Amino acid sequence: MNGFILTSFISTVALAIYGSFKFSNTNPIKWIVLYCLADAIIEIFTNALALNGIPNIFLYYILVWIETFLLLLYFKSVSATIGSIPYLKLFIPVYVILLQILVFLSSTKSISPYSGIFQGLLLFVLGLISFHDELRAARYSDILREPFFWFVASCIVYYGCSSIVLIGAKIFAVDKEVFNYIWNYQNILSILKNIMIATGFMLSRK
Amino acid sequence: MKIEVVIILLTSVVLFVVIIVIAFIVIQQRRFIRLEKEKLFLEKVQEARLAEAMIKSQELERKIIGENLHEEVAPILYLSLMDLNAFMDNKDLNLGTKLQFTINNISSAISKIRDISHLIHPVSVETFGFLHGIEDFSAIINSSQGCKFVIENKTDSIPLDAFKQLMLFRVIQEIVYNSIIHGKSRKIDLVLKKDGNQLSLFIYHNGSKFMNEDYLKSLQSNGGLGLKNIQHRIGLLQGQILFDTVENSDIQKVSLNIPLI
Repeated sequence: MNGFILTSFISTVALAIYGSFKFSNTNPIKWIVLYCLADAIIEIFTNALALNGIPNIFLYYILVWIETFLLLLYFKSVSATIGSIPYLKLFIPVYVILLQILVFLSSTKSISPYSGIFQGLLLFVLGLISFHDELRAARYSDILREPFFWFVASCIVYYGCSSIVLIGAKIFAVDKEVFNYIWNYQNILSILKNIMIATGFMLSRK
Repeated sequence: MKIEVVIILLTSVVLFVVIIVIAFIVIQQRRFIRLEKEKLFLEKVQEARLAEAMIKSQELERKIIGENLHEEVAPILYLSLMDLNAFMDNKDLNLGTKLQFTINNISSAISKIRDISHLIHPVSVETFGFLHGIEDFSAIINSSQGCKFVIENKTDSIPLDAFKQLMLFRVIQEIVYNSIIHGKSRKIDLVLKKDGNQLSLFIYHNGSKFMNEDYLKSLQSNGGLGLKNIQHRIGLLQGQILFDTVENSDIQKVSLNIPLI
């Protein structure tokens, strides 16, 4: 494990532990806490399997599905526009089926970027819609002091840029070695995302 | 350049753009909040001004009532009282003539009280509607001999509720008073028209010039209580008012448009 991957792993686990103290069943923050917990658990399993030489690519697809599902629920509870989309309940099962097809089509030896690109672009757009809603409604007098801002900004930064990494890898048809190299950069984005979510947790009131 | 460097550079550029977009969103959101606060503050100031204008206007009305009762009615009643005392003291006087004089005085006082009470609270508007009330008002103005007030009514009825009719009456009353007191007008014409769901009222008078800019300026100033009351009532009626001059003449024109909903 190189430095970035290790830092990313530690920050993800630490964030999940810190976030669990902020869990509140009545607050939309619960979806972010569950997201962090899911992230950390899958990260631990992924690394455990990798250390024992067992293929772990399937965990990546499960993670993509869980992350998207939990973040969709978060966006649904904080954004009036997303919450009012009548097809959202229909979209989630369709998305699960689509993901299963992508997993079926993917190789178990290397990550297929399609589901990641799809997830990244979807969450990036949902983040922008949430910000657009806030610009119209202006609910917060100081947006930088709101956990909402940090959670949504982390989604936009992380998923927006991750999509570019995956799109780039797909366009240039990089080999496994190059992909692992640029995946390090993705870990930097992950650390940045964890810092932003941690800031949101710090600003949250139970 | 290696592929991985290209991808990382590309992602870095996107990251930079995303951060700029987020910063822009924060700046815009703060600007919006600031503008909302300013708007709220201005609305509060405007509300406070209107409330102040209303209270001052009420005080002014009370003062006018007091002055009218003191200067118009009290001397007549006082004279009548003196006459009655004189009858009691001096039995030789011609009682018939003196009593008639006292009766006339008391009748005059009653008439004055009636006029004053009609101006303060136009019962006729409340009971018989705006058109009846405005005719009563015109009769009072015409009885003063100083000004001629003519109504040209092209409507059969005014389909507004009692409160709105009273508001409309107050607006007309204020405009007419202003044109007489401040504009020194000697002739006023009121034209009423109904166009679909819109009631149009036009007041023409030969008083001094008063344009829409003067009206807007008065609304911003500390004075102009009557005009602020007009604006407040027009707002309640969801209508519009325009101060203008009839083309190629010295006749002043006030146009009122009230939606009939």
